[in-house]
Amino acid sequence: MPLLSLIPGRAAPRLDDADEAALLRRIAAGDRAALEALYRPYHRRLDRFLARLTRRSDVIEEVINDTFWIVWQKAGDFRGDSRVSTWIVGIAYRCALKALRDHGDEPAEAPDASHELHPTDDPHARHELADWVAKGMSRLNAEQRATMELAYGAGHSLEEVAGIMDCEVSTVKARMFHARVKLRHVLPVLAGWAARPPGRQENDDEP
Amino acid sequence: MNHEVRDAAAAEHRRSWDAIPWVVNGTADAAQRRRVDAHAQACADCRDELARQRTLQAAVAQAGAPLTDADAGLKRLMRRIDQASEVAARVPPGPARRAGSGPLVYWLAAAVVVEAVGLSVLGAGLLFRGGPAPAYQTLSAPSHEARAALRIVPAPALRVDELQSLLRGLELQIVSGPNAAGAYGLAPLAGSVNADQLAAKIAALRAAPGMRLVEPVGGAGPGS
Repeated sequence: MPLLSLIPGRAAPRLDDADEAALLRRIAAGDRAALEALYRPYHRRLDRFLARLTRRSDVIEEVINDTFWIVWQKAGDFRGDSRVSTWIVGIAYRCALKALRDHGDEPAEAPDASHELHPTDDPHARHELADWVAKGMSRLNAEQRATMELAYGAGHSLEEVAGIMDCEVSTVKARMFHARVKLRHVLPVLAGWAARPPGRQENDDEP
Repeated sequence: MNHEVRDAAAAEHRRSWDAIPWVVNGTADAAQRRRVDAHAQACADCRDELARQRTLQAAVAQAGAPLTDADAGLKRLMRRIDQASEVAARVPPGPARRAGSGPLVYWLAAAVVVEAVGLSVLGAGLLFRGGPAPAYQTLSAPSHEARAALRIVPAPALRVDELQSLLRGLELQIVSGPNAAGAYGLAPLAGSVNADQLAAKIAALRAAPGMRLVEPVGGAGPGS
């Protein structure tokens, strides 16, 4: 296991896109070591992405397993039309939607965030902020939560989020807009949020 | 004219508002960033929104402890691959399996070799003995398994009546299984269907809840 992944609060080191594409080619040839090399860094990323969609660890496990099962089977179909990460996270997103349909798509209650936090200079402030964010996110629907996590948690671009969610860029914009509006109403802890009205009317297609 | 100016300002405000998350997460291009910065200098709403979204982005980006264990997950994945290989080795492969369909091809090829050796030994035995064929049936005998057009592995949580109802609706029947890996071989009630009809049934099965694996047997099939 890479040393960095053992350090709390540090993400596992990421491979670059060329490394990942090379691993996919080896996976397509049936190389299990390559599958493991890709699985480990992605497990962490997918775990946190999926944790925004459901708090059930059994469902998260199932979705990660299904995702890499498909990666194993379909690695040879990857043509490089997108980044490897977009392809894999897109598979995970589709598996997650299916799992949420099977298990019910409402997340569990907003968790007590204290167990998720790592030691910081100001644990109380972090706790409070993470708790509010978890509560706020639980008010969003699955698509809005996924959009927010992909953009702010994983740092994907607008076009990448559209690719992952297999939808138009305009749909991502609408989801992001509504997520922002909903969060500003439930996250007063982020100082001054309620003081100003939203910057435009809530007239998009996704309440 | 005033209307036009107002409309243009409103459109610019909306563009800026929509671009804020992507400026905040660092993926907006330089032109977008300049445009948002310029607009925000004159727009208090967008200035505040930039600050709010920066705070929110930092909060969402906080790393939490994983909810699942990578090592355990990897073991489960490898076990699943082993089980699927076992299933593939038990079902006779067709000649036209799609190229690039992944490592199963190699297992199916291995199964062909094993079967060929097995059949030739059996054939030679029968030739030399000259007696009637045995009353028992080998695993590779072209009976039920040969009729299977696809195989499925239902999730343990799927009830029997749910599975039956699903298969009835798709006019499919179980012709073999479950094997050690929990896989069933399915065939169309009508006996045979064309590739499009089979693909539609596979797609419907994959979309149904409770299916862990749905794969065509032998011939080409649609991707997951």
